Amino acid sequence: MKEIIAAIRIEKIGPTKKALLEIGIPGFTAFKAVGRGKRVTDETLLAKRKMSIAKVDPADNKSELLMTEFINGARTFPCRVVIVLVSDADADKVVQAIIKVNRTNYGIGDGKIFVMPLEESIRIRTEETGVAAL
Amino acid sequence: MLMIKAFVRPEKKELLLEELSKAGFHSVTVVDVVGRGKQQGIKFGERIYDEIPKCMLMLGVEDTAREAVVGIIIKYAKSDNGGAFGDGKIFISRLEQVYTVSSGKPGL
Repeated sequence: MKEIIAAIRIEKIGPTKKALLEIGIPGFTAFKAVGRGKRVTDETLLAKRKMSIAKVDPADNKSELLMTEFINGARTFPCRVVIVLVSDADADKVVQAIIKVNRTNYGIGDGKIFVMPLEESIRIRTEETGVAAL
Repeated sequence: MLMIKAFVRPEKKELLLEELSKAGFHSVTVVDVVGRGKQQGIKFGERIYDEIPKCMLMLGVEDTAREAVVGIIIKYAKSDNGGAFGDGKIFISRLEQVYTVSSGKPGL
């Protein structure tokens, strides 16, 4: 069994839920978190993203700096963490589904997916264990 | 690759984020959590508070970075005078695979 932990954009939680339902894995746990990713150093990517969010006045140093820090990842940013528990066979399907709906053409800040081994799962109601309890 | 989950005092969060970034471990996910540890919470007179606010830092790192990250967290999350109850815990688990959504490719 595998535990898939995905940190994604807040507004992508709806599409992600829908995508999981479509591949037949409806169960998940989600919570709000803040986080940051790799520092973005590519100037062209940053400039493109800055222009698409809001027009920043070059004379206004403070908001320019603030926005740059948010986009390049110097500050932590609100995100949603989704945890999905699946059998080994379904792991790749879930990863690909999450990537498909969460990928944007901004090139930065789409999130990260971690796949971890899961030792055991138990359904409290029936005391089933293993894949049957997922 | 490893997943490092550190439960630390909320007031140490900013310092830890700064020091981790300086050491090159910039990526992190931060969740506010409540919990209790070995001390079974804090007791004030008759009342026991067993849902103590903590901050959970989640970092995905390469195996080689393990000592460095754990060292930084221990150094800066520890209270003055050699540490105190409630400074937190660090859990490390194995990460099988990591994907970056933007590129869709495996790897940190």
